[in-house]
Amino acid sequence: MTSSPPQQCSHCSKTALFICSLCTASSLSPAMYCSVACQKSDWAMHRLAHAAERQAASSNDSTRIGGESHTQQGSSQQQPLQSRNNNIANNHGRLSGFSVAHSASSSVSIAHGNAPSPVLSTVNSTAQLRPQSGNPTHQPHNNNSSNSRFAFALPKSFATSATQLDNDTIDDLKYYLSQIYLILKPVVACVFFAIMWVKLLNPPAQYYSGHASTPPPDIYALDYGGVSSLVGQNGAVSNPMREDSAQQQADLLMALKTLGSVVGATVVIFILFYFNCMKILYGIFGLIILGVLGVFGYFISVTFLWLNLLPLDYITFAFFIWNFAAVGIMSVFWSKGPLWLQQSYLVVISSMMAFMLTNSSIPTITTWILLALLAVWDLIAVLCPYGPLRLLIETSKTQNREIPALLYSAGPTTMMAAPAERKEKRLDTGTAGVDVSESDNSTSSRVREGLDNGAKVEEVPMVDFEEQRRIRASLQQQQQQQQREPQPQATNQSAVESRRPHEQDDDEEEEQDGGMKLGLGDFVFYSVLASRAALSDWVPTMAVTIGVLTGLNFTIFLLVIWQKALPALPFSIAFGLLFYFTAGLVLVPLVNTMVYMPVVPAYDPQAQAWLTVGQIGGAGMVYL
Amino acid sequence: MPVDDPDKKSADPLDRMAPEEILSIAKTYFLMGLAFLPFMWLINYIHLHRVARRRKDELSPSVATYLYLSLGGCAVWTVLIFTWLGLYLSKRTQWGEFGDRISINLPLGS
Repeated sequence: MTSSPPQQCSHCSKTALFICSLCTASSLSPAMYCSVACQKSDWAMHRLAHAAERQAASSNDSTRIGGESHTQQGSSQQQPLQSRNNNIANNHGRLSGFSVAHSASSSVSIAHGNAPSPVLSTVNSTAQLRPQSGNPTHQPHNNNSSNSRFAFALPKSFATSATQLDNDTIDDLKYYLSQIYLILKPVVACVFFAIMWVKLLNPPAQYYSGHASTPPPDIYALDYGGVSSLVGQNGAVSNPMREDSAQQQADLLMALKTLGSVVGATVVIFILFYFNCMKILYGIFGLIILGVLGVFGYFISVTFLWLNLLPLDYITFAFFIWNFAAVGIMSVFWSKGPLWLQQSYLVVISSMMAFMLTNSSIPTITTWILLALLAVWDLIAVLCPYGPLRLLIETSKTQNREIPALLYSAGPTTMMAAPAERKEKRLDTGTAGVDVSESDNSTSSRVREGLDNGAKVEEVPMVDFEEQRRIRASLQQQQQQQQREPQPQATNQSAVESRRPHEQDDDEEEEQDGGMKLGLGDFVFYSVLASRAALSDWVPTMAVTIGVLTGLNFTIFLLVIWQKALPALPFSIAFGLLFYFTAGLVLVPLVNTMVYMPVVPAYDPQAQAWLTVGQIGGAGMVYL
Repeated sequence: MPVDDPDKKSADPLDRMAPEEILSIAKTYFLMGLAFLPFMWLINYIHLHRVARRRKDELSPSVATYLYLSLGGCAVWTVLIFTWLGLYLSKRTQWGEFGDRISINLPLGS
């Protein structure tokens, strides 16, 4: 730790505690400050000194490599920061108390020669989507941190661009490391719930080739449903491979139809959002979420009760469903509610949606085709200049309106009840206003809070679910009424609408002033993948889960590198599918062969039931 | 992990909300919970009780009133539900047709 000599603040002449970190690496007499505020106020003048020094150094062709690279790095570093700040469409231009404080902490640590604290939030807030307060102090502090780090870092032979990239990226990476957990946690929870629904409920449409959905309970089998379903599913993994061509074409057609409705829904939602029809959007999303929570909740609960032979009366049941749904609607759409509650509800809704998608009688092959097509669509929609999702993000940025109920936000977000009002409120009250409108914080979002000042992030979570439900509804409609044209059209229309928000969310991973946002559609389709895998053995299930999480990690990593909205589906779906088929075709037979126990049914007269002991099902599961 | 900001006031946006707003939140939760929603009351209490304790001085006393009313209401509802469930689950078969009519599913063998 270097100790700064007792000096006076350059600005106010009090005892100085901090040193300008640019000065520590330069040959100027160091400027000392007593507080961040003083440095900020003095920066306007002190900046010129550094700029002049940089000019002199670069024009002098200094032989000192360190100085040269230092100055080069310093000057070139200014630019990306600036461009980043400009890119962020800084609409609010509010100072974040926290970001300033972060700068303070970074400058403090720098002054004392410590490794810079992970004040990556200040750097990262520049990225992508949400306008971060274009705080001029960000630049000097960031420069300070990176420059000082560079000055303290030893290798002076780095190429300028390499160091620069490394420093910025290191900051970003460190920041995102802390944020990754916040995004992974809900995804894991959602996948876990989806798998749980599947395993608990043993959906009737489990038999791959469309057998009649026989009711699971078999009086003489203790493990009702489990044995038969797993046996039935034994070959299910390889089933997607073999199918006659007519069936394949029908499946492909259905997948294309589904994708078409998803695309259409995305476009419709984007148009609605673009023309500021927020009330319609809210109404649609509200209805969909209510439907998901109510209808799907009802279905799942009834199936669970039935499968487990539990009695329950309508009164209590209605009461519980009513509570569940009403609090869900409130928590998702009302920003004043607790954030943890909203996040939990979003996760549960996503998992329910995914479960219903896999539970409905969509043939397996259609699901795979649909997932692959969605991955491709995701890529197109987010990365192409006229992709609807990309346009949606940009509209949200430029118009300063949050997309309603489509995104899961890992940190506190603000809900836009009416865009105009919110905007005014934000501008007026500054940081305090944002904080007020923000929902409760999750534990690790302190950093993000500071950065959130500019973010008009609406609480988005719900939309994806809605889309999912619509998708399912439309798919069912398609199956049932393929002859009648008008009805599928109507269904598709609603499906389209609901799907679109879902689509949009699918693809976007938005970084919100340090809070990452993940579209609800991403949650849903990850869970669809996982629950479809859960219909077979545990080995493919876990393999798919790991594949999806790997894809998500990789996507987040790329997000850090590229600093723009990225589609979250393609990598995860690719890895998930790859792992699933590999596990199903290679691992399951391997484990089955290694665990060889023939099934021996024995009748136990006392219990009046059959005991089956042995290896049943795939992947070496031994059932009793 | 995010660094603890030395100047940070609090991680909880509730701490920064105006007292009137907190009062309105508590009141809204309470009123919504009146529609047979003890879960809402429970959320009300969980969400706000720490803030109410921390900022006791500046918040109006009605906030605490609402919170305790919510908690009490939730407790009452819980007692009611348990009573009814206990009654129903044990006496369902004895109630004959009425028991069957209000049941969602009839487990085999009961």
